[in-house]
Amino acid sequence: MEIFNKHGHITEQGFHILLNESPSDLERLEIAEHLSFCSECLNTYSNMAENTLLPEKIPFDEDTLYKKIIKKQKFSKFRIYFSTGAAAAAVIVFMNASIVFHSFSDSEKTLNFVPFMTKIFSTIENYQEKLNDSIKNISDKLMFINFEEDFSNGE
Amino acid sequence: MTREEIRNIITKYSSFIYRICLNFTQNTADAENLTQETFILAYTHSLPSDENACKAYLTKIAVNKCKDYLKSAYMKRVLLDPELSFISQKSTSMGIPEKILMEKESLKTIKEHILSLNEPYRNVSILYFLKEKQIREIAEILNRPPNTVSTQLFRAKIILKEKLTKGKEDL
Repeated sequence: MEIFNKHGHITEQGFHILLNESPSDLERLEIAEHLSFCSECLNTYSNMAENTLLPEKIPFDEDTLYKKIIKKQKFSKFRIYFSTGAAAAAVIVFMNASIVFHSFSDSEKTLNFVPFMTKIFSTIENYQEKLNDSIKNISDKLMFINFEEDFSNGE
Repeated sequence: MTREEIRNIITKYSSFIYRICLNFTQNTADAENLTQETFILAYTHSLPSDENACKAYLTKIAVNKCKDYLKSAYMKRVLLDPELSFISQKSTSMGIPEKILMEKESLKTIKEHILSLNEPYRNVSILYFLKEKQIREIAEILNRPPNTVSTQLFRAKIILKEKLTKGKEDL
């Protein structure tokens, strides 16, 4: 059975195999690849899939699906804010360390090694505090966004 | 998109999208996961207001998610296969595998094998191996994305290698 015709489009048999039989992994991948760029075949497939019965009961209800999606969405939002904050903090720490380092001459670096390191550590501590504050601000902001969304949706 | 809108869309299309994902994955857990991912992507983008356009948009997202899922599963298997590892190692330089093939078989035999390939590999292979076109040019001629052409060429090489090895064993 031919899944693709000579022009590279999916044949009726191809759609039938996908919807009603168990095509191989490679055949499924080839069909998915073709559907990703061919709107003509995608429309045909969409119409055929709508009229095909599911072989088994859907393992989830719409409400659970909705809750899972909202939860995943919130988590991914938080991940974006957190990674942005962490990257910014790392850049600030690095830039500050380089500025502190350049403020000493070579002889001072050797002679005043202990105070130099103390200064570095205290600077890092300061930035750790600032980082904690910014993370707290981000989480507050996130909570505010969620509250605002809930409020606008009347939940 | 508001939460109310996404809730309506889920109510309307969840079983349809799940059906598509199940078609491609043949696995209920993966199908459910891909259904969720489809709606998450839809949630972060603005969907068309027209019902048919919205359905087509969601179908396209679902199919693309399924494609990525199947592609990663297929690539994992190919890269783990020691028989095919030489192809994956040299897949970045597209000119080398066909040279290896040419060393093993005569040009005539290779041409016969290329012509005997089925779509979606036949036209891509003819243009690449026989007409010596670049991937970009093939993509334009066949109206396919360049990445898809590269993947199809990669798989065509695997199929050709299998055919050539089989032919050699038969002799």
